[in-house]
Amino acid sequence: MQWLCRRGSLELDIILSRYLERCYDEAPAAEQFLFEALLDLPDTELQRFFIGGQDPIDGGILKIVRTIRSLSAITS
Amino acid sequence: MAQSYELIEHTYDTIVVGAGGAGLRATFGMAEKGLKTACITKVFPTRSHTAAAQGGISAALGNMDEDDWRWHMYDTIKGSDWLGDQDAIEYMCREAIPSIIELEHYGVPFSRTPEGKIYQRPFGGMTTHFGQGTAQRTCAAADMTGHAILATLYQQSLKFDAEFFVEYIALDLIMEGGECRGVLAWCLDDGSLHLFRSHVTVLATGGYGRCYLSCTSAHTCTGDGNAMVLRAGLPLQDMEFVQFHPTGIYGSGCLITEGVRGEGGYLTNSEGERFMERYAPNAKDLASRDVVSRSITIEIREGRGVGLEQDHAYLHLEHLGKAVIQERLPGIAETARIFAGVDVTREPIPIIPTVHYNMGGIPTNYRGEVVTLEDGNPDTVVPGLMAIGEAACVSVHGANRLGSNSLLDLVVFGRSAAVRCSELIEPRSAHKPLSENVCEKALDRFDAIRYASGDQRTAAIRLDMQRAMQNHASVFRTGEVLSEGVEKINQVETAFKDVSVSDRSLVWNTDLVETLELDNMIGQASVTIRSAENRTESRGGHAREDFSARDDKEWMKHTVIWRDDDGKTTIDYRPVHLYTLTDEVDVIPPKKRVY
Ligand SMILES: Cc1cc2nc3c(=O)[nH]c(=O)nc-3n(C[C@H](O)[C@H](O)[C@H](O)COP(=O)(O)OP(=O)(O)OC[C@H]3O[C@@H](n4cnc5c(N)ncnc54)[C@H](O)[C@@H]3O)c2cc1C
Repeated sequence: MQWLCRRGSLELDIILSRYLERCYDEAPAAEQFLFEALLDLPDTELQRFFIGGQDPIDGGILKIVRTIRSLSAITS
Repeated sequence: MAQSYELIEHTYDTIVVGAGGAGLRATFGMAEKGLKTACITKVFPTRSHTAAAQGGISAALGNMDEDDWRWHMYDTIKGSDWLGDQDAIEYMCREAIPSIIELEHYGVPFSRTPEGKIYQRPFGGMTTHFGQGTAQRTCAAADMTGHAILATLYQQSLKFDAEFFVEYIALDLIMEGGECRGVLAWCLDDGSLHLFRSHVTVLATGGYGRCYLSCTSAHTCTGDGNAMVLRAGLPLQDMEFVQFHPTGIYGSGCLITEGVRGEGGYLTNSEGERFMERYAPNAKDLASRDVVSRSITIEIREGRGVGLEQDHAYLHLEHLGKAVIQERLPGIAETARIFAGVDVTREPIPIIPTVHYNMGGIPTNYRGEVVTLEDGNPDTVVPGLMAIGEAACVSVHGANRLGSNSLLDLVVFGRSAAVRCSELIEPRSAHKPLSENVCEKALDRFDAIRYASGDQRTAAIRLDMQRAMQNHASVFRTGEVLSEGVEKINQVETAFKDVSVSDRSLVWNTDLVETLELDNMIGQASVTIRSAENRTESRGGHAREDFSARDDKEWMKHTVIWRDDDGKTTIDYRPVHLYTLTDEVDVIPPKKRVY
């Protein structure tokens, strides 16, 4: 899992590992499954969802993207 | 040897380690020329760090206004603070033009002007007429230039039947009689070990930004190839030259591209002053990176920093308006919101100079061949070994790299390495036999780290190393601070002897990967800080407060540094190439570097 969170950019590294460290272990199995599906997507798509502000079409992916986004918004 | 490992053997004409822009350009070029080529990479090719390059790639195409590769060459030499090799710089700037046009033909979706030409934007340090005007020389594919190049080159490589070994960690070079004969690698997915034999091995493993605490680079950037070269008994070059990007987001390190300033963004201090006008009256906010980084650092030091701790500066783009930001700089607004909590249409972004690029690396000539200083010959080629990309020091960036010249370096020298291999190698020719125990030393190291059972955690040692580098080998340096840093890195080296790895398995063992990477980084941290301590002048990215002037008489030379198995380092020098390749351009003699 940790290796799959290693992406091409620092931004995605931070966003994805934040979820992995804080939430993944305690998350319900269904959410863990969605996170794994998310990690299969290419960097360009993740970049679009998290930095480009676009919403994924797939409902499940949208759910996990929203969960991760809500973690990211806290930083300042 | 502690345990015997079974090795799966492969034989290729050429092996490329790394699938970033440099590695893919070389892989594709070699496969295209009929060489049996394999590319080994620890992360999936399009997850290589090149993906992060948003700003663009330079070439004097002259699509917007007049331009000339000789002006580009002048800018690069001046940017390098006259430490760059002028033959290699000439080669890069001239070959830039066909290289970009090739990329366009392969399918990189460059942004276009209304007339359909490749759009080019201004970038720091890029001028016309030898420093007179501002050049528009940087080509971009929206804000995804790096990714677009990777995706395109990967597709091209597959077309020509290059083979990819993905999620394989290269461990060490296999050297015999001073020649490189291949590389040893570990497959994360099934735990197997592989010996890749090749006529030429090309290292394209990228930079080592992760040696520092705050850097703009992804977690994979641990400079493994550089460390493999040190362990092979070969030197690294100009390691003291580390580039700080002036605008990393305060806190996370995430990069705000220079393109922002190219489009009109500017910096201010706590008094709201646009201070770059004082430091670089002509280029202002578009001065070269080292100049801007030092200016920000001085502002902060002199008490004009912003924020609670007064320890950073502001980057403004509110005045550009939503439309321009959306169109020309997409992603910047979101990055600033997520990583700085800022709405860029209303507020400035808090920024601080952050480690961004490593000018130093594996010394090579402009053909990509690794060179070393041996028996008084500074250009001795190491047979069977090449290096390209950020891992290499050709040296085209000298003491300071200009923005958008790195992507260029990747494609120009990736291509050049492929051309050189096709000259050197008869496709599918036989390999000399290897002696039986060539892999023993590499396997012993791997085994020792795998079973390491000391008291110190990898993450803790890494943090100590990163702190030492951040605090002691930063934007400004002094002899005293550096020698304290050397002492701290010594302690880190000692601590590593007592490291512990908790997981003994060979399958997806990220604890082991991170410990191997840490070992690699410690070697590079050590030679970086020692080279910095040794160079008693200021040049480009290396600014010594105690030796604030450039000293061409004593120091217009490349540092080369070796590190033996006990961590002992030796320093020597190679001359800077103050000559050009052809008579189409004259040598640019050293001048004071002002913007
Ligand atoms: C945020 C950011 C933005 C940038 N923007 C620009 C820009 O706009 N313009 C520009 O010119 N430059 C830019 N740069 C610099 C440029 O992106 C890098 O210098 C360049 O991408 C390095 O490419 P590379 O091919 O040498 O290595 P990388 O792209 O870093 O690739 C290294 C490869 O080596 C592999 N690897 C490493 N170690 C091992 C190992 N042990 N075993 C197997 N494989 C291994 C990795 O898997 C990877 O495939 C930017 C840099 C950063 C940090």
